[in-house]
Amino acid sequence: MMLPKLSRYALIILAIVVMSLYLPNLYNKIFDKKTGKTQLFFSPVIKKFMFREMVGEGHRFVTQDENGKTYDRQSFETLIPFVYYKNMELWGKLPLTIDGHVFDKQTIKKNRQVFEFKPRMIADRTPRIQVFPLFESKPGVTRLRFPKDAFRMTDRMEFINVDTNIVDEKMTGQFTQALKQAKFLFPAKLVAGKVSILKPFDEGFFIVDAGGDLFQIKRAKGQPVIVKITIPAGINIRSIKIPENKKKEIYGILLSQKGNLYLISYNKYRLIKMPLINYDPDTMDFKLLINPLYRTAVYSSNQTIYSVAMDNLYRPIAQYHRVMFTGKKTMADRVFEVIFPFYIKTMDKTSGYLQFNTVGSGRLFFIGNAFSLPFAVLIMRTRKFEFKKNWFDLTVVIFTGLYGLIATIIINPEP
Amino acid sequence: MFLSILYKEWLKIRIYWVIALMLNLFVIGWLFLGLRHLFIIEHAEMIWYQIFEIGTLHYTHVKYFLIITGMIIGAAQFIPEMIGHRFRLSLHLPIGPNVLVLWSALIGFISVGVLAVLDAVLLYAVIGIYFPHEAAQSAFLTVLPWLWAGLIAYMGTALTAMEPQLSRKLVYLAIAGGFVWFFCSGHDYESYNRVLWKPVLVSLLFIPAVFLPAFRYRNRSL
Repeated sequence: MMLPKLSRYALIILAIVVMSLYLPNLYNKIFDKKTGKTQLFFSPVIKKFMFREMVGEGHRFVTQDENGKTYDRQSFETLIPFVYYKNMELWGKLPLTIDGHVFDKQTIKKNRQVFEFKPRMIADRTPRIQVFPLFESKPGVTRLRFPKDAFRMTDRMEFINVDTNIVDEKMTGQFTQALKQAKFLFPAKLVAGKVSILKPFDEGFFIVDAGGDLFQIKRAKGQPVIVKITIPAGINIRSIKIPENKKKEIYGILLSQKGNLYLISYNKYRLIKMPLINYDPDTMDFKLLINPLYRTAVYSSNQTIYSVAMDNLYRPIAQYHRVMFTGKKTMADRVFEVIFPFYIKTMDKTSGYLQFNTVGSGRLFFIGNAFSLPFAVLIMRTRKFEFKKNWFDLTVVIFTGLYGLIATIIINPEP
Repeated sequence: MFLSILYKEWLKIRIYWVIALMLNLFVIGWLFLGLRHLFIIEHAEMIWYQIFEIGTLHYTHVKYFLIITGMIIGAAQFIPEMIGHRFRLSLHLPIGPNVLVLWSALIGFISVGVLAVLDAVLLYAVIGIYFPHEAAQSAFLTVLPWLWAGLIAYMGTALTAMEPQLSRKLVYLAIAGGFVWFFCSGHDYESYNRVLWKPVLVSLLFIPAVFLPAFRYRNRSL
């Protein structure tokens, strides 16, 4: 009799796992509300932070500055004219004059850039097969083309011919030798680059060697071009993102193991540290908005949005943060906490890897668990199951609430 | 006695196992032909780009065939036993009924497992013809949860077939289906790499779970 009893509890555990995988998802599918994240900007006109936030279903937005003053849509856009410069042109407001400087369409277009860095973009948060095409940086034609080989970093820089799937020893020897001459230590710790032929030009790959040093590797007219980049001591590189933007102000963004963000500038590869407070690269989306006057870093978790406005030299001039409407708990969130004591989280937009983590729903779970218990007792009485024999069912219900209640009912004890 | 049970189970499933083997070989063969055709009509560098950067998976159909295999073997092994209550005869063999059920389930589990290993090895070999070993290794890691889903499909079918009560059959189907769905829910390559061990460990509970339906069958039918 012992074995069937254990077998029953095995099935109850399996049922609880399945329910905690799918029932919370089903609940969210039914009760989720349409809420967008807050858009936050620094106004170069009034020198204040301004935001536009969805606060309900349909098109219920609030548009305010950091002091709580409300604006209509057009006034809001007029106060951040570098973002909405096409509307400014349409409304006949170009050229603009701000702080005595005149900005026409071309100047704005030339001096603006938006750069995003999301947790999913961190090298160790999304799987990537470590084989990459090294583009010809000087193709001699108007567009980049995919090369006929791809490389991987082993104890050398190995090029594999894509037609034959065989290592190209000549090319491999050529690049490996060049890297060794530049004091590159194999194997590589990190390979970062933008694999696209739609980019305007190619900056090759930024590769961290076994010693933690950073190198830029390009192919120019078939020949290796290697630059060893001096980075300040103590910065252990975790990830790099290369945007390859026509503006040619920054090569890319570098994330250190300590969670600090740096821009790699075109000015001798100098690293510019972003002055961010409470930034968590594993959970927060980061955006850098560059316009002719200011640089604004905006980063947010699910609850709070932060921003730092900087001058052209990336010196902070103002900071702001607020709890977003999407971060506020709704009635549906509270009911969720009551019904589901926990759930198994499998997907997360911050990572390309799936999870299987048990996550507590919140403090209100004990209400649901407390309600489940008398139900379980009632059902045991109705079905005439002995408490003495089946006390463990009640323990299961106490700890797993609704899941345990359903599981012990549908997989009832054997007489 | 184990060899006798093995022989008995093999007699039941051999035709279906060979059909499943052919089915799985066909799937891998189809993959090979598909890749060969792709490399004829498309530039190799674009195919490599699509696989490594875009994450195109050319072997997603592998996902379904071991699940079908698990269901076929599970059904072939236990449904005939339940028809006409033949399972009662098996339970009278000179061996404990729980041991008999466990051996029977393990034999079926291993027979599906052999096909899973075959699928994985052949997939690695086929991908390795056209892509570097990194891609073959990635394909192997990507299909692991799908292959495990095939084994869960087998266990779910065995549980369902042995269970005498219809409503409880549906419960077992839902539990097994929930696990199978989870193991097949990743859409990108290697997305289960960091987590696979956890649900696999939990789903091992399907093995002791077979005792309950067998117990219920025995106590209601004898």
